[in-house]
This record gives sequence, C-alpha cells and structure tokens, in this order.
Amino acid sequence: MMVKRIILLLAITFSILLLMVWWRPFSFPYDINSAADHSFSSLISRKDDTVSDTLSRDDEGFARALKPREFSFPSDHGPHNAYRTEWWYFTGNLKNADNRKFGYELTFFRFALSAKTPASKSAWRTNQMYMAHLTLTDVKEDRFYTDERFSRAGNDLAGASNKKYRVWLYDWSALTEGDSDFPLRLSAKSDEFALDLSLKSKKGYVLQGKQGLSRKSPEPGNASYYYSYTRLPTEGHISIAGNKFIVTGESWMDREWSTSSLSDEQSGWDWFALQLQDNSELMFYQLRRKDGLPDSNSAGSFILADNSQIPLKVKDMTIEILDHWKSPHSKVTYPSKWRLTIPGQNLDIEVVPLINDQELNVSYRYWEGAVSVNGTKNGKPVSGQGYVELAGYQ
Amino acid sequence: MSSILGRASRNFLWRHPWQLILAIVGIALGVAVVISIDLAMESSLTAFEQAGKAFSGTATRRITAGDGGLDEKLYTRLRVEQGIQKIAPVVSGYVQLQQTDESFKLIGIDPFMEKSLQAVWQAQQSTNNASGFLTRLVSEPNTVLMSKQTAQRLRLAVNDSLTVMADNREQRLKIIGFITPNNAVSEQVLASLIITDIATSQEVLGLFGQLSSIELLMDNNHPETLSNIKQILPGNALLLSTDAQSESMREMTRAFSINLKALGLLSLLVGMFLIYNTMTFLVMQRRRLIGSLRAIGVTRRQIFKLIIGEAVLLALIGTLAGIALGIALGQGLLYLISDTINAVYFRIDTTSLLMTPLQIGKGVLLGMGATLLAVLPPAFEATRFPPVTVLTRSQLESGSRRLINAAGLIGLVLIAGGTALAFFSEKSISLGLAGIFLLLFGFALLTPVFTLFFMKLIEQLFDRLSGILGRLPARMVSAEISRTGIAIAALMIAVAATIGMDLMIGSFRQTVSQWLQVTLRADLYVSLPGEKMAADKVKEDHLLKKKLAELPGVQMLSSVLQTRIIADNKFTKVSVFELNAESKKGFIFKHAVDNDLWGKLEQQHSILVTEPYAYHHSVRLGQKVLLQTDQGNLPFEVIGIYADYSGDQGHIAMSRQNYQIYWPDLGYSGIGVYAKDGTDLRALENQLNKLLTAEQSVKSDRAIYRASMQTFEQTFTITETLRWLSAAIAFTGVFSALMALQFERTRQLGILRAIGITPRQLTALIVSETGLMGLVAGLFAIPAGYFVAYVLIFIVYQRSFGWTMAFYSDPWVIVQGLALAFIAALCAGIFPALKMAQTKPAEALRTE
Repeated sequence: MMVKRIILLLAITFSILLLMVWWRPFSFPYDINSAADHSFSSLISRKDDTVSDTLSRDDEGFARALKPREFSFPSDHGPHNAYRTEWWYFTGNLKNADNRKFGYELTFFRFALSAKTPASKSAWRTNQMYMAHLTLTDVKEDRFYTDERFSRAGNDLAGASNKKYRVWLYDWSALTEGDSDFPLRLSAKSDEFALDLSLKSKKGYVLQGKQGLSRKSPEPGNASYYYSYTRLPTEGHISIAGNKFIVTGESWMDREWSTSSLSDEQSGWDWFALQLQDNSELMFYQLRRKDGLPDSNSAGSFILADNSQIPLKVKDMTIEILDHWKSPHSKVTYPSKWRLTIPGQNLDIEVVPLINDQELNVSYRYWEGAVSVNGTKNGKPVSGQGYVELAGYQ
Repeated sequence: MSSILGRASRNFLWRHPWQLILAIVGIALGVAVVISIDLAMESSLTAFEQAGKAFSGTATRRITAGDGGLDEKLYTRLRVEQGIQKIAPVVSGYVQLQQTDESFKLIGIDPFMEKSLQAVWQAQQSTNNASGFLTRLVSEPNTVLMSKQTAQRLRLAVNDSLTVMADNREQRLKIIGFITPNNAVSEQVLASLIITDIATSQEVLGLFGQLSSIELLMDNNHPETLSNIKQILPGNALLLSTDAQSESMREMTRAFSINLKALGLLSLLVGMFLIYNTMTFLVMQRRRLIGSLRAIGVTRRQIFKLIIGEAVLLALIGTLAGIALGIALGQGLLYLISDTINAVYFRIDTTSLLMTPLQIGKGVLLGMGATLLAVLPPAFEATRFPPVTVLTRSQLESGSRRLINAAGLIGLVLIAGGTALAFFSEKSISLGLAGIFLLLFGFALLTPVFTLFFMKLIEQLFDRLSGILGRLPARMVSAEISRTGIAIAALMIAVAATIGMDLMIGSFRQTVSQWLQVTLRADLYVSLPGEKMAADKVKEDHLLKKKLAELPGVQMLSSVLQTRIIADNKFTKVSVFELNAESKKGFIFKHAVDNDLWGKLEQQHSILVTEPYAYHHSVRLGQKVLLQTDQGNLPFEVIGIYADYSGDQGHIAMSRQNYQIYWPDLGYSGIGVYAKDGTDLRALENQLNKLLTAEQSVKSDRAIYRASMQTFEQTFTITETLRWLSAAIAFTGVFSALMALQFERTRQLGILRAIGITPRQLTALIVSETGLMGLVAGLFAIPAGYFVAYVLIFIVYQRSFGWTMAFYSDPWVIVQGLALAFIAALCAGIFPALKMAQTKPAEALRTE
C-alpha cells in the first residue's frame, strides 16, 4: 500500500513538474512550419491602423493649399513633399476584341510621416512613405482583384520624379518612356493579376476647382491642388491567372496634393469621374457630413468636348441614390446606383456599377469601381463609362 | 499478499538508507550530466537560430555577404527591377550598453514590408494599440523596440532612453515599444535583442550603404526567380536557405557537440554500474527472504515485479533529482559552452537555458531506461532463487568463475572490435567514439581476469612475508570476484577515461605550443579589429601601416587580413598574407616544399590550405578549388598544406597580391612588426602604442603566445569539468559498491572477530582489501588509458577536427591516475571498516 501511495505521490509531483515545464513559454522547434501567407491583400476585412493613423496626425509644419498656384510640368507631375498627402490616380474602363469588359485602378499615394526630413548619411532615412493600390475588375467573371504595396521613399525603393513623369513603388510604376509626358506606361503585377498599359493624352489636363485649388471645407487650407487628365486613350494588356488579354479603352488620371482636406464634421465623399460617349466628361465629388446632411462644399466640373470647363456647385447638381449594396466582407453598406441630374446641362443619367463587389479591403478600406452610364443629354440618349469612389463608409 | 510484499520490500529498503541514497545519487548525477550538456549545447545553438527568426520570421532563404557587406542597392534591384516580393533587408550589429556593459544585438529592419514574414516585431503591431508605433520607428531617428523583461530589468519604460556604445561613440536610443515573444522566438532570446528601423541601425552602427543580409520568403517552386537572383548577386554574396545555414552551423559544432555528449554518456554509463551494483546487493541480501516468500506461494512473476517496482521508484526519484540538478548544471555549462563556441566557431549571444519538454523527456527516458536496464540481471537472478533452500555464496561464486573467463574472452573481442571500429570509422566521429566505448567496455570485461591474476601474484608475494592475515585481503578480493570485479571495473573505466583524456589534452597542448613557437616570427603584433564594413577602416589601416614602416626601429613588416570568401558555395575563412622572408619560416608544411612555392603563391592562381581544411574538404596538393569572384567561379590551385590549430574548420591562405585582383580591400586584421637587431622592444612597443586607436592593440610574441595558450585552456575547461564530474560519479559508484560489499559480509567478519581478530586488525584487513582493489583498478587503467588516448589522438580527434598531433606521454598522468584510483578505494573502505570494527561479534553473527 505504502509503495503504491509513494508511487502515486511521485506520479503527481512528476505530472506537476511536466506541466510546469510545458506552461513556460518554451519554444517548440517542431511546430515552426512556414505559415500561410497573410500578406496585405489577403487580409480581408481586417484593417491595419498604421496608414489611416498616419493620415490624421498633427499638421504642424506642413505646407497648406491656401491659394491658387502656377502649375508647371513636368515638375508638378513630381512629388510635393512639403504637403502631407499626395496621389497619382489612374482608373480606366477597358475591353478586349471580344468586347469583354474590364476596369482597373492603379494609384500611388505619398504620405509624409513628419514635416521635416531628418538629415542622415543613410539612404533609408526619409519621412516620405508610398503606398500603391492596384485593382482589376473582371465583369464577365464577376471578380474583383486587389493588391497593395508599401515602401518608404528611401534607397530608391519608391518615389516620384519632378524631371520627367515617373512615379514608382517597387516594380509598380507609371512613367513616360520618351521625352514628353505622354504616352505614359503603367505597369504593375500581383501574384494573380497584372497590367501593362500605354496611355495617350487626348484632351490635355484640366485644373479642378479654382485654377487648380480645390476647396473641401470653408476653413482656409482645407483644400488641395487638383488637376485631371480626363480622357486618356489606353491600349496594352492585362493578365488574370496567367491568361493574357489584349485590351483598349479610356483612362482618367487625377493628381491631387494637400495637407488637410476634410474638416471635422465631414465623414467622407462620393466621387464620380464619368466619360460620356460624346467626348465630354463629368467630375463631381459629394462630401458627406457626419450628421448625414449633404455638404455645401461639394463641387465638380463638366468638361466639354473642346476641353472647356464648366464648374459645378452643389446647387447645380442633384444626386439621387437608387439602390444599396452591403459588402459581404466588411458588412458595410454602400450606395450602388445613382441618378445624376444637371439641369443647366440638360443632363439626366443613371450610374450603375459594372459589378457590385468592388470594395478594396486593404489597409485603407473604400469602394472604387467601374461604372456604366446611361441617360439623356439635351433629350437625346447618351451613354458612357467611368469610375466611382465611395470613401468613409463605416 | 501484495501488501505483505510491499511491506517486506519497504522494511528492507528502510534498513539500508545509505545504499538507497547512493543509488539515487548515481542515477541523478548520470542524468544530470547528460541533460545539462544537451540543454547547454542546444540552448546556445537555438538562441542563435531564434535570434534570426525575431527579425526574419518565416523567411526561408537569406542572402549574406562576406566582410565587405552587401550593397544596399542590391535590395533595390531585387525589389524594383525584378519585382521580387516577400524580401526584407536587415542591418545588424552589436552595441554595448553603457549602464551594465551588456552586449545587445541591434537589428535594423524595414517595418513596411509584407506581414507574411511574421517576424516578432510584426506580431507587435496587432497587439500593441499604441498607434503609429511603426511610423515612429521609421520617422524618428534612434527609436527602438526591446523586450519588456529586459526593459524592466534595466528599469526602463516606454519613452525612456538608454545609452550605448557603438561605432566608437556613445549614442542614445529611445524605447518606443516592447516586443513580445511568439511561438518561434522565446523571451530568453528576445532579451538580448534591440529592434530598430534600418536607417537608425545604419546610423548607429555606421554601416552606411550596407546591408547585413536580405531575408527571402520563397518556396522551391520558383526556380527561375532564384536563378534570376543568383545572376545579379555580387561576387562576395551568397544565397542560401536558412535551413542549410543553421544546418551548416550545427555541422560546424557537431564534432564539439558529439565529444561533449560522449562525455555525458560516459557519466551515465558509470551511473548504470552503480545502479546495477546497488540492486544486485539488495537482491543478494534478501535471498533468504525471497526464498521464504517463494515457499509461502509468492510467484516468480511477483518477485520480479517487486524488484522492478523498487527500481522504478529509485529511478523516478533519481531521475527527477537528476533533471533538477541537470538544469542547474546546464546553467553553468551554458557559459562555458557559449564561450567556447564564441572563441572557436562563431559569435553567439549568451542567453539563459532554453528548455523543451523534448529534452526533459529525453532525460527522463535515459534515467528510467538506464536504471531498468541495469536492474534486469539482478531481477532475473532473484526469480531464480529456489524456495527455502538458502543459496550459498560459494555456489554463486563458482558459477561466476566460469563466467569470468567467458567475459575475459568477450572483453578481448570487444577491444579488438572497438579498435577496428575506430580505425574504420573514416570521418564519422560517432563511430570513433563508439569504438572507444567498446574499448573501455572490453577492458572492463577483462578486469575480473586481470584482478584474479593480480591477486594471485599478491598472495604469493605476501605468502612469504606474513601469515594468514597477509594473505586474506587478496583472497577476499578473489573469492568474491563477482562483486569486487564490478566495482573494480567501474573504477577502472573512470580512471582510464581520465588518463586517456589527460594524455590527449597534454599532447594537444604540447603540439599547439610548439606550433605557436614556430609560427610567431615577428617581435610585435599589432591587432586591428573593428567593423570591416565601416567606411574609413581601409584608409586608416593603410595609413597606420605606412607609419609603422617609417618608425626607426622597424626592419620590416608582414600583414594578414582575415576575412571570408566563397569557396564551393560556402563561406570560407581566408587569411590574406603579405609575407617577408622571416614570416615565411613560420609555416609548417605537411609535405616536402619546393623552392618556388612562395613565388607561385604571389604570381599564379594559387592558394595554401590548412591541414583541417584539406581534411574536411578532401583536398590534395595540386587540386583546384573554385573561389567565387565578381567574374564568376575561378579555379585556384592548392600548392601547399600547412599545420594550423587556430580552428577546426580550417581555412585558405593566399597572397595579398592575388586577393586584391578579385576581392575588395578590407584593410588589415593584423600587422607583424620585425625589429632591427638590438632595438629595445619595450620602447618600440610604447612608440607603436601611441599610433594606435583605443580598440587597436600591440602585443609581443610572448604575449600572443600566452593569450593563445589561454584560449586553448579555455576551450578545454568544459572537457575538464565534465571529466571531473564523471570521476565524481565513478567515485560514488565505487564507494557504494565497496560499502555494500562489506555490509554484506557482516556475518563473515563476525566470525573473524569471533575467532580472535582484533578490531584494529579487522580495519586493516578491510582497508587493505579496498586499497588492493583500487590499486588493481589503477594499474589496469594505465594500459586502457593509453589505448584510449592513442585512439583519441590518432583517430577521433584527427578525424573530428583534422588536426595531427604528436603523442606526448606524461608520467605524471600515470601517477595521478594510480593515486586517484587507490585513494578513492581506500576512502571507500574506511567507513565500513570503522563500523565493522565497532560491531560486537555476537551482534554481527545475529544479523543473519
């Protein structure tokens, strides 16, 4: 009996010891297997706060868009590092010879992490960070592909040039291969999909807002410098899962830089960039307030076939939401069909996404998708295409 | 029934506490030594690997470069031109904390890269809610992350600063967050790391334009990407899988590790003797009891279970104690082992012990297994006792006489087999050591035969000199050879191992000392350590050399640059020499040398290799070795093989002239100064000292000699320590065996007392018996030890490390071994002798 008891006692002591040994944060060399890929693109519906936090930090020391400026190219295609944020925004509607439709977005963002650049002998020391988003919409398959990249501007890993058009982040780039600004070559590839496009300029650029100064709220400085190339005939190829498609179509480029744009009571914006069949374009951004009311600073412009520009104010335009779509990924509800009317232009159109699910679940969540346009202009039927961006929805 | 058996067992065991304690000590020590070596060795290597995982996470491949460093533009090319994803740049180095002089590894990473690498600092991102902590790391210079434990130990909180020495200056680092361990990197490893942004790392370490490595997460499905990368790699860079790297690291230390583990096993083996001995004693003592139990109906199976049950109990207690002791011992060994690895192989960071359940489990298995194995023979013996009839000792002994002769024969076969195994082990160290174990075991089996022969000799010698009392000790040893033999064999093994290792270390020491005396030709040696990647080093080194040459007392200079180049797709140490007529005499070639060797070394694509290099890479004279240059792999002819004991991996040597054609100038590692005849060396040394920076130093050839010999002694500290541990176990074993033997003979000694032998005579009798046993163990250990030393020097060490050594026999070693055996045995006899002498004859007779 005694021996049994001693054995029992020892067994218990021993198990406790073993348990203690297991409990401590020991390493288990055998369970280190190469883990599944959790790169940014596959982090569906999980937000990374780093980038969004960067956007809302103290503005002290940064330059602000206070008054109209002289634009000069190609240097203004380059970076404006004194401002907090900047982007090079390319979107476009494409189709192949079989009329299969695609949409794409390639955007380069620049963020200044701090107002001052620290002096250093290290090529890695920089306060400029770049982010790029790439999406591809495959209408036939109802698929939406996204990917993103991050890098600091240091060691030539990312950046933009003010000598000739070149903006790049790793191997994603938009650059001119000749001496003039166009044609521009966009190339970017992800694991699943890629694009390689050449963009010509058909109509030249337009300065948005007041000679390029686009106010987002009455507060001085809550504005950006903003110019657009509204019609860029595009050709090249895209590939999805190894299948290559030769495509043609039309792109739109927006360039904008600012230090702060939204004011405290504003929650986000709906932005429309539409190209109508008759060679005219419509750009309008509707700012939304946190209290749900439309913001009086919303604005846009109507660009005629001859590139002349008609500025649009809130009162010039009505936007009616006809439908909603709830994202299965983020559970966020977005508007998904609009009726736009501009009485002054005799324009009455419906804007419908090519597919509903064009939500980017990357480090900064937003909806940006290819749309089709149908309606009437001066009583005659008109159609078109474009891109809509829905930001700030929760 | 079982409760009666249990009680019988317990009562008996309680009456022999000393035996129990010694048996437990034996198991505990054996297990402790094995576990501690395993823990310490594994901790050192695992810490090294885990430190890598802290910043590279799940990276599977790594691009590293030699001392020239990796150009940071290579990373840009891979990312921007090749579009390769999931790669990460690293800039790392060491900084010294001002406060405590502790050394930390500073690791610079790029926080904005793919999360798929799952490095420790990335995990931080999701757990730490303090926003923008990665942003701060990038945008604020000198911000760092460190382990919470370390910060707490240093009494630092977030936003506190610490002052470190790096790049020859004091620098302040600001803690902005903590890193937490994950399942791949433990707290202990993180404790010695500081993580920062790559820009800060370059600034703090002064490594501008350079990367330490580029980590890649890439499986084998992308052969073209890999070959693309390989194509743009510069000549000094290498792309390796991280597995292959840690494999080669383990490979480097394998010989060292196996030798240590063999020492551990030796301890366990001696421990097993001890258990076997104790259990046999406990069974023998109870042969009457067991016989009676059998008579009242207890089955053989129950008896067997009883004995095994007791052994399991002993093993459990012993093993648990052993594990606890092993962990404590491992802590001590860890420093010794990591010091040795640092001195001989590569830089590792000392950390605390990293224990895995696996290692603890191994210890438990070893302790329990060894005990049960050792107890099987006595357990079977116990079941053989026939009921009631008391088996007499004489019957047992006459049976064992036959056994002894058979054992002797087997012993001879084992010695022959062990020697053969060692000879044919080729490059396998394990086989060589297995050969030594067989040898020792063979000698152990021969011990009883030798003992009987020796005792007969003693008997005849003393027969003439004295009467019955003179003959008795020797007779007693022979009469109970089945018991004494085992004790003597255990002692013999321990002493033989000691003699063998002493001779080996002594020979090695002599060889190294002679080699150093030939090699150190210059009068003064200037050492120029420092980060070879640092920008100004080359220029300053050349300037210093020029100044040295201009000093009045200096006749000539020689120089060496120690760096790494890539040979056969592996980083290989290379010594780049600028030699003069005198320093050329410092090479001991392993073959006849023709006169134009030195000319060839300067002019042609040729190299020298050290003896260990030639051995490990199977390189012969005239063979060509492929060395990686910017122009691809180029063949270099091996024109000489020379002796070198500075490392067991070996290295290549080439002329500076040859080196500079293909590889970057990295300054010097050392400059030899040859003084003019009649120069006052002290004065010259002082003069030199004035030209040197704080980290540079000048030493005389004597000082270098002393420092080298000190390093040599240091590398053997651990071997010495372990050897003494196994000697201690052996001593415990012999002590226990001899004590058991004497107690078992209580009745016999009682009779001796009864027939008129005085207590004093009895004491003398017992002590001289054990003394005789010690003597015979010591004497027999001498040939066995020489045999072991021979195999160690000419087979195992030459094959593990590639060194040839001369055999130096040291008579002092023999004296020491003999004295050890004799004194150990003598001491073991004193306690029972005194006890027996005090026992009244009637009482002694009554115990039966």
